[in-house]
Amino acid sequence: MSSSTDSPTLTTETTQLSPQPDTETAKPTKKITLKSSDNQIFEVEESVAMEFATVKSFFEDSPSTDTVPLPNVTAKPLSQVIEFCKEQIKFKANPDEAQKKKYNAEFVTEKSDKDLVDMIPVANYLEIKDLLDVLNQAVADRIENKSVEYVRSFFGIDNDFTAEEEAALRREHAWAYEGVDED
Amino acid sequence: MEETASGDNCQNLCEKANEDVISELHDDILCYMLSFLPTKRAVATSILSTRWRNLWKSVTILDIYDGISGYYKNPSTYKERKMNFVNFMDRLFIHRNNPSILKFRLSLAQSYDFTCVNAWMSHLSRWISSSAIMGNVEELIFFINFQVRLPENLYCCQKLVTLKLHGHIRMLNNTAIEVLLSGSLALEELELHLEGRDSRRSVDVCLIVLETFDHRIRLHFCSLRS
Repeated sequence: MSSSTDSPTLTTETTQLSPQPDTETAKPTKKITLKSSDNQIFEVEESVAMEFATVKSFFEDSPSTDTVPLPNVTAKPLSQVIEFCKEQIKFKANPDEAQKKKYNAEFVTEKSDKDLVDMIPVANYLEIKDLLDVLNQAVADRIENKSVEYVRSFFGIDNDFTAEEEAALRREHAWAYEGVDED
Repeated sequence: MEETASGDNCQNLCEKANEDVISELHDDILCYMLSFLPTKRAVATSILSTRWRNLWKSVTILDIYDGISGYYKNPSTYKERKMNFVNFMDRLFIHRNNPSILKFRLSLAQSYDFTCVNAWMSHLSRWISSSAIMGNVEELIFFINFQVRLPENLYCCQKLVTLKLHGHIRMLNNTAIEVLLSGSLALEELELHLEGRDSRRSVDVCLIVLETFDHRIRLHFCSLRS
């Protein structure tokens, strides 16, 4: 699936999200380069990249590579996922459950429906369990009391039922459709 | 896909902007996603598209609440809503095709026909048995407002972490409880708010728990006189 190229700022091989240079400590932190399916380059600290189980095992299999291609992941959700994981690293170093909860809640609150939905396959592909849970909960909260039509457009699902089939299913599980919000 | 006229192409391109990236995911991932919804709404996703039709049948976390506020609030539809709920439960238990369950939460604010409830409980009992073999039931929560006897194999789940029983639930005798609790060594949280005949048994259970578990366990007991 080729990605759209209508983004005006999209240039290949740009460096995004390069972390702040270590001005104080002499110890250089190892960087790992990730390449999205739309050819954007992300340079992330090793500790962040190791949060992605998929990337981690890629490196274990071929330690000499310098760039990890992520053929199933486009730049936008990837940058958001990296943003999330960077914060999680901080919480790993200084555990603070309340702050972490607060951050996770804010992280999803400020995202659009589409951003949330687009991150789910990425979190799944990169095997970031914590993020997947946060995203699933956020999606569940947003669709819980919504109509079927609303949920279809939320996910971008094409309805391929005939009107008769849909009506029959609706009758079959009548209680499941009770009490939904007005769109 | 067939294109009928060139005008549709634009339409298709525009729609592609909101591409369906979710339906392409593996069943397991979608079922996991559905497990974050109350079971009522997970079942409702069956009419999103044919891809979603049967996914709810494999969800391993069930969270069921009858959500039927009292008769007085809306007497004209009360009977119908209650009937819909009973149908829903019957179908849920019959059509679910994955015997394994991880978490099961059931809140019943209304009372239901004895034979219906018994049938639900025996289905549940079978799921627990098959799940217990794999030892994967982690959470069992019941809020039940009428006399009901839970399946006896409820408590013999090795990985059970949370057990909460609220309402008019009939407990087994103390020896049975002792045996059952000693089999649930992963237990971390136990809540008993029993009413009626078994309410006083909570205290006995509390003592058994204290004797059985040497790790810290969150306990919450409430003994109510009938």
